[in-house]
Amino acid sequence: MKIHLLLAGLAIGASALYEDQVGKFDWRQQYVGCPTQVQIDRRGKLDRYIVSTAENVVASLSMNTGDIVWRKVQEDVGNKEPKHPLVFSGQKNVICSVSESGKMVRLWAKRDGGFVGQQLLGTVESSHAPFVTTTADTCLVLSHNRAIALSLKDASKLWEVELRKSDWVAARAFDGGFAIVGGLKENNEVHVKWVDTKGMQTLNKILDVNAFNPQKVAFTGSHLVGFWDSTVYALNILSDGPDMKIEAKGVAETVFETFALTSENFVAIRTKSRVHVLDVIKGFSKVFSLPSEAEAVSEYVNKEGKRFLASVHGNRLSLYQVDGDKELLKDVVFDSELKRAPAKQLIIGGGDKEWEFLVIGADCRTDHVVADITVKKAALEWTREEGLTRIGSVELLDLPLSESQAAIETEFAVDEKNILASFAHRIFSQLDQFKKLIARSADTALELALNMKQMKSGSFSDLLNSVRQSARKSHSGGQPLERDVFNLRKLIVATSLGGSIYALDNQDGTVVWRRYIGADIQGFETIEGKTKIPILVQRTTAFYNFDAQIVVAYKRNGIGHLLFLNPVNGKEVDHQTVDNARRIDLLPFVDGDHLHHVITVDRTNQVSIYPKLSADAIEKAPPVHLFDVNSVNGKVTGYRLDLTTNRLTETWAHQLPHWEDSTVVAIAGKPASERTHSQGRVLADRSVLYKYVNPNLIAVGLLAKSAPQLNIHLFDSVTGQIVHSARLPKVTAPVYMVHCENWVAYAYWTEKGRRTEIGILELFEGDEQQHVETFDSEEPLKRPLHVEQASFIFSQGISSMAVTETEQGASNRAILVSLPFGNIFEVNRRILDPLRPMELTPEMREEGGFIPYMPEIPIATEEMLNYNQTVHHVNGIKTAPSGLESTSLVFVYGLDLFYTRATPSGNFDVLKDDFDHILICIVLAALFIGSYVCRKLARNKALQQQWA
Amino acid sequence: MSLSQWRIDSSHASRAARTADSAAYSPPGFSNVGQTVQHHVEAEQSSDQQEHLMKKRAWDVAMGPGKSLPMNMFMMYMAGRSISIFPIMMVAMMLWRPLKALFSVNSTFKPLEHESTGSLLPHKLVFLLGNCGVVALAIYKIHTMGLLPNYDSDWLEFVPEARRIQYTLVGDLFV
Repeated sequence: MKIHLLLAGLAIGASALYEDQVGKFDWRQQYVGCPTQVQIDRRGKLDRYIVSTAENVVASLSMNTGDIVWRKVQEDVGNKEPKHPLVFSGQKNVICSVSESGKMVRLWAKRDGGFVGQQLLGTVESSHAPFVTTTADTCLVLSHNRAIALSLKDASKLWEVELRKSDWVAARAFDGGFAIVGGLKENNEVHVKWVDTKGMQTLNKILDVNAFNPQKVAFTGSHLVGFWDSTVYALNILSDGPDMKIEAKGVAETVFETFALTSENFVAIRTKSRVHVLDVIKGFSKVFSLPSEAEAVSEYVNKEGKRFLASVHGNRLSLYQVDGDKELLKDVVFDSELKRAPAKQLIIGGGDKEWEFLVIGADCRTDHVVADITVKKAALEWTREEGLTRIGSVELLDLPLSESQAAIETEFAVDEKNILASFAHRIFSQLDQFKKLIARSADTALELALNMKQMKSGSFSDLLNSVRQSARKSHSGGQPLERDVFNLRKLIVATSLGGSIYALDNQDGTVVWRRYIGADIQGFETIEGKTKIPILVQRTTAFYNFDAQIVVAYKRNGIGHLLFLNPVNGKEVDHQTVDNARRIDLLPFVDGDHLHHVITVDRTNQVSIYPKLSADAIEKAPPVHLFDVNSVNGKVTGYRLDLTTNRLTETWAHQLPHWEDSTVVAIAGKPASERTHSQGRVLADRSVLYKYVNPNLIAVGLLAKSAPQLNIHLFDSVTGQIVHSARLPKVTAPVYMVHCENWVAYAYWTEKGRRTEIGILELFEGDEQQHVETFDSEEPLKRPLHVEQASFIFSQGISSMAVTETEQGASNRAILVSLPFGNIFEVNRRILDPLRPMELTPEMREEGGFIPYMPEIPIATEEMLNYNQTVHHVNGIKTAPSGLESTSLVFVYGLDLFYTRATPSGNFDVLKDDFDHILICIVLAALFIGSYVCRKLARNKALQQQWA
Repeated sequence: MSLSQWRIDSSHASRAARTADSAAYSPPGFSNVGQTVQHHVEAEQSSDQQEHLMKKRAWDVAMGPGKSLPMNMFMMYMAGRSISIFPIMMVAMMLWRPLKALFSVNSTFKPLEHESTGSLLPHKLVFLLGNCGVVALAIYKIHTMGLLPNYDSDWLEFVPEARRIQYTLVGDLFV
């Protein structure tokens, strides 16, 4: 039995990669996330940025290339931003980072990111934003209203001091210990505490402020600087005794923001028009005012103690010397792109002639700019698209037809009225195609000849290699965006919750275009609790005489927006606003322009359609139904859409059972494009069990809280009939669900077994097919459904689940599961099958293809789609069909992006990857030539023999 | 070449000599007449036998395929149900030979056609039946091997997808 299983496993796992195929079909891009804190590390030869990000990552980036030197991924924060971002502080060798809103402190070696130690501070999130500061040997963390000092050697706790309740804290080290300052909004108080290096309190003071607001304070050097309305106040926390008092001063304009500068005793305030630098010690006297508007301002003190101030506005950068009031750079353009996101943060790397800057945009784009102050020019050295770490939705789109494919389309596009004219047209277009073919092959031949000329040694293997290389070169990179033969090349369009839309080339992941919509946008919250910026494909590129069109839906200030775009170049086509949209979807039919119309349904069930439907289209439209799950009262309602009046008429309604203490964890329908090739399952006795493929079937997963259990309801959204219900007791989150063809797969954590399990539920009509030609939901089922169910132990955790998709749906399906340690695992449906027999009978053995039931899903490393290219914090997996039936394209997104091809049934329709066309061609040609030459030689020889 | 400038056709000459002198050189007491009579009697006898033999032979030919049935059955039993090259070849031969025979019934019985044997129709019928029996056996064998597309499952991949009447919007539900 064991051997059988092993053999079956081997047969399925035969799709693993070879070593030389690594990186051939797949790519991975590693990101760090949206930077929140950046430090410059200039020790030794390699200059680096140390960044901490909203995605709970501490990383070191090379200043020269922007590559990740080291990256430490900490706890997954999911799709949402954590309550408080990760903060860190570093001395010469060690970084001390506080992650998970103050729960955990970790120490890292600065140069190589080596782990030094860690300390758990609490199991709940800190109420205030944590603060961390370091001295040569101590790391002081302020979190959970406590001050904790840790040794930088091994993260052991040195001492701990209770603080007064506060919602803002900061600290500064001085010779005798630490000065800790905190503030509480509700009491309008600021308290200062001095602690010596042994943890003994030396000073404790509470001061009153007129209006304390944790959002309106900054900490610079030894000063706490805050403001209300048009008043600025400051407190020197290092002044002893009676000197410690809050000084306030009114300024002419309303203050919007204060921010800390690097040099002590100076602070910058932003008023409506300008940014001013004030000297706190000299009674808030204005030291410097920026002459123009600025999105982000930063200060830098060079080795000689000179202070510089830089500002960014749009794509322009300015640099001023504060002391001499000199203007070093004035509105120097560093990026040709005009529609940039406003800068959120600016970091100055300094320099003598060539200054380095890091500009972090509101869409998390991170640009490294080098500016020459003598020639007054700036250039973008590298860019990291960190916005791609927060993807709200992804679509894989076909590329437009290539020139030759479009030529073939036009060749047949002529109306058939005049035979002679169409004949002439075909002849001419074919001549044109032939001409192009000749030109192309001449180009390749020329390239080949050039390559050969360059080659020094003339061995056969070198020749083969050069031919192969030139063949490969013409296949990748630098090509125009057009469809390839097998439609494997696609455009990945992704929306970022950071406020941008990206289009990536699926061959190498390069950004084809990027469009910034606004950092102030929000996604739509789904009932399951996910945030999405949906992308809907209105028209694919299949029609050469129409441009493709997509629509991106997002919210700004609570109002929904629909942005209509051409996905190939990112140009805006149209823009609409919608109010209170509960649902944004595409109508399942097209009008005369092959365009799927967008339908939105608002809270009052008002329907809007963009663009308006023509009367002709309304007449021809098939019946369209909708369903709605009310998250407040647990009512499920079905509606029928009336296109003439744009109204919804309720057709059915029922209450979800056990709604009161349940949450909806999954609502899964089936996309209209999904195809099921095989209508049944063949059993061991060669009879057929017909599948119940109901395109209107919806699966709803409900997780009950008090008595932990998972309820799965399958209902027909047209009639409201509950087709099947399943109850799994003692099941808790996380639950993932995939609904496809006639089955539903669901992963869950079972309390009873204390493990992750994957269950599968498959619906059959029985041995007679009821829905042969048409599937009408209104038609009642003649016989009760045959439901097969099984569950399997999955020995790993699961962080995301998806199913492969192929063009005709004839290949086996596979379920793609992302594992928390960074791998993507492919579970074939043959393994995850409720019809796996308990025991193999002789007939089954004879028929073959049956794998006996085994409670575990074997996890083989060959079936890891991403071999050693681990991806972290996976948010979702997107699959798309390619032109090859065997191949499904897989795009995994999260902190890292990973793209590959999956072949769940093996590569049955393509030659092996190492099939050597060139060698075979050469051998064939050599044989032909050889036989010709030999015939001639043989004839000559025969003639000579006769003469002899 | 030079050698074949002339030659003697000995066979031609000798035959001419024999025919010329056959009567003249008969030994004494040899009667040509008697011999012919005896010959006549023998011929009568042998033509009876011939007729019998012919009929027998015709029946043999007609019964041949039928007789080979048990033997074929045994062979098929021995071939087994596994699908590999030898059983497939055996079954194919078993199917092919009777099929070929079915199309050449007349040519099989051509040498046996004689006024003495009379009508060969019953023979042909039996022959046909026998061959049909062998074909049936072969088809049964193919069936047991599972090569015959006579189950629903064999036509499953040709069942088209059902066209849907209603459409449902399945996109995300937003709060």
